[in-house]
Amino acid sequence: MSLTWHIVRKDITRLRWVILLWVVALAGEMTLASLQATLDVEGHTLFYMAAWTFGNVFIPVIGYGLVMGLQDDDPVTEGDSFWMTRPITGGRLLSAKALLLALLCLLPAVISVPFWLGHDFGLGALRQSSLHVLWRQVLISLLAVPFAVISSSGAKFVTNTLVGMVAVLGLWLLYRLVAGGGPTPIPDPVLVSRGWLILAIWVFAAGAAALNQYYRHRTRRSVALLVTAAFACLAVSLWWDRGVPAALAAGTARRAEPVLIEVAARAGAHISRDGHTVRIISVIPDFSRTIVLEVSESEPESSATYPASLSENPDAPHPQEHYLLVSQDDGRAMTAEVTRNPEELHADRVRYFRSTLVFNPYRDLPGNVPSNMAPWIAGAVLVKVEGRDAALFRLADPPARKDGKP
Amino acid sequence: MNVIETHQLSRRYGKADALHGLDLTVPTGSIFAFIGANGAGKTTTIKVLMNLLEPTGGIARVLGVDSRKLGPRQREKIGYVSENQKLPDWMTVRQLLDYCRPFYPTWDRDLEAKLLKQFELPPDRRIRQLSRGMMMKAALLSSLPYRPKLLVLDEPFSGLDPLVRDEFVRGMLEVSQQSEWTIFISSHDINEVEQLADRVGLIDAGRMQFAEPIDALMGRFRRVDVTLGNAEPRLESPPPGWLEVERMGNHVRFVDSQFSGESFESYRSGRFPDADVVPAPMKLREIFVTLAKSRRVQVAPAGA
Repeated sequence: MSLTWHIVRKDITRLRWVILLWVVALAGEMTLASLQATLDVEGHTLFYMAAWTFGNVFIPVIGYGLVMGLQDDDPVTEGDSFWMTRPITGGRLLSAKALLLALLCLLPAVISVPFWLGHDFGLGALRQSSLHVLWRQVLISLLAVPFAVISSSGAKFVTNTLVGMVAVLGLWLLYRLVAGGGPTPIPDPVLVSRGWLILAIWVFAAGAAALNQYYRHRTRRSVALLVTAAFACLAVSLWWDRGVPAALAAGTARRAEPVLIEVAARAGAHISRDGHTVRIISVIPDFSRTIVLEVSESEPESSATYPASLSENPDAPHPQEHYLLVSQDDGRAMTAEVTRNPEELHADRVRYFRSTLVFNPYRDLPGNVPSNMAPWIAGAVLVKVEGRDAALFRLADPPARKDGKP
Repeated sequence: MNVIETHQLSRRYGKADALHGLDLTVPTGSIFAFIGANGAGKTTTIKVLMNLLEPTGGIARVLGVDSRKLGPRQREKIGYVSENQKLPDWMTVRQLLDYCRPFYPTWDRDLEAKLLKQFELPPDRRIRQLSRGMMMKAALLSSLPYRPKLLVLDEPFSGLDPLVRDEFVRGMLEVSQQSEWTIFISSHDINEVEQLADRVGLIDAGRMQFAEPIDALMGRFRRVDVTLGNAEPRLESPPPGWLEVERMGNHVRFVDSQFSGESFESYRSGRFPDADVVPAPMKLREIFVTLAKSRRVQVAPAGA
């Protein structure tokens, strides 16, 4: 084990400046999120775009490159790498690399903890947020590892990655070609099982390629394996039509019960009110990105029919605690509601946002969710508004538009 | 006991054969010069021996172990320096030594310090900033302090100036004075290793032409100058050991690769009865040039 750590220390020494850059970037991302939480999204579009790019492009790219950085010093392709001529087995090297990779996957969560604590995250929120951040880096690593182990240098890694991207594009076009243009809805259980199956195939292929490279150095075999896996993923996405097995589904359902995360709006959120519009800009706990929830009923034509829920209502029961729930019904429509009863929020199909967004339930309902929003909807966000002027209101049944459209 | 043994060793790259049934034996304690032209198969042989390549046929045994099963225990006793080796060039010389040290239980820090001083390497300079000669010295430095039983050097002198070469050799001699070891050194130039080696092997087109002690080799090669008398010499069907047979007027010249007192007397009396026959020892380089030329002559008709 000491020799394994010896290799880990060597890699940390070599990558120290890149790791430091990554740490600074991660801390910067959270700083930007803190700033976002205090800014008006409409007045700071450029800032938001920059922050989004920083958080969604820059940091993942560094995280991706770090995986190659790990491998670059000890290539496992056929050849006379330095380590191969020394008393270092493939197993020991693999252990060292896996250990450091695991530490790097944990690093974003470790760095984020002080930030989360500063925003009053509870234990549940910390766990949820840590898992999310960990999952993000694990996914990035799962993509990077196969390319890293078949590349003898950083330049080849970049080339192989580009080739991989082109291949994925090709597979996507092939998918569209074979699947046809008809919008045949695929049941959720099938989509879920396809997703898990594809993930399992890729994990297996990446693991097998890594083992093959570390122990046998047969790059062509690994490439063949990865190409086969890619086509297997394509086949699954085209033809796999079984849902999640009942036993597994039950287990999944138990695990996938909505975890409603509470964020004290006062901790970092900015709440403003303009007429009948309440705007809550907050930081959601799964990571440091900002969520902007704009709940409005400011349409003059509808104000008469709409509950005057946004008005001051000092007589409302429990005025100090209100919850805003945003949920997605079928991938196209969205509803939002505010309730005082957390039990009501444990409904099916509850989703939450993981990105900066501006959501106007009146404008966007019922079938006009901005297309760039949908990919980010993956859970439920619960914003707990304490003692502020977001009074009880309900938007589950939005008013009809004046032009008669739903 | 032999440190290296190969039997019918073959290695193929696609359809091209790099090694054809190579048989090689390197006794313990020898300094074996593995000579061959560029592309003859030297590096491939070494890579197979070091388990950096798998053979496609035959077997290689290093330190008594199948080369495909070389593990940490064997590698702790093997030093390897190659002109193509990729060192971790971001490290300083000191970092390289610090990194290598824990992997070798027999690492001798005193010897390390002595060699570091002898090689005049700047310990705090990054390897990528070193000249080629210094880089090779750094590679050797990281392969000597654990006193390997076997040191494998693949074209270590290629491109080095004589001064650096001497330092390199002195470094090896420093260790050889303190322990018995075997050196397997490949080169395309016999001059580079002539002073160092006690055994020599020639590889050509993936086949071992011969491997024997240098003394024996030099003892059996003679350049023979014949000044003919009145009698006509018998030059038809020369023995297979004669190479580069040429006649210019009343002079005949050839190389006898199987020279011995008996054979000399035999052909002097039988083929050149009335001639002045003078056998002269050859330098190692001349022997190799002769062998290379004779190989070319043999190959030429097939390629013509």
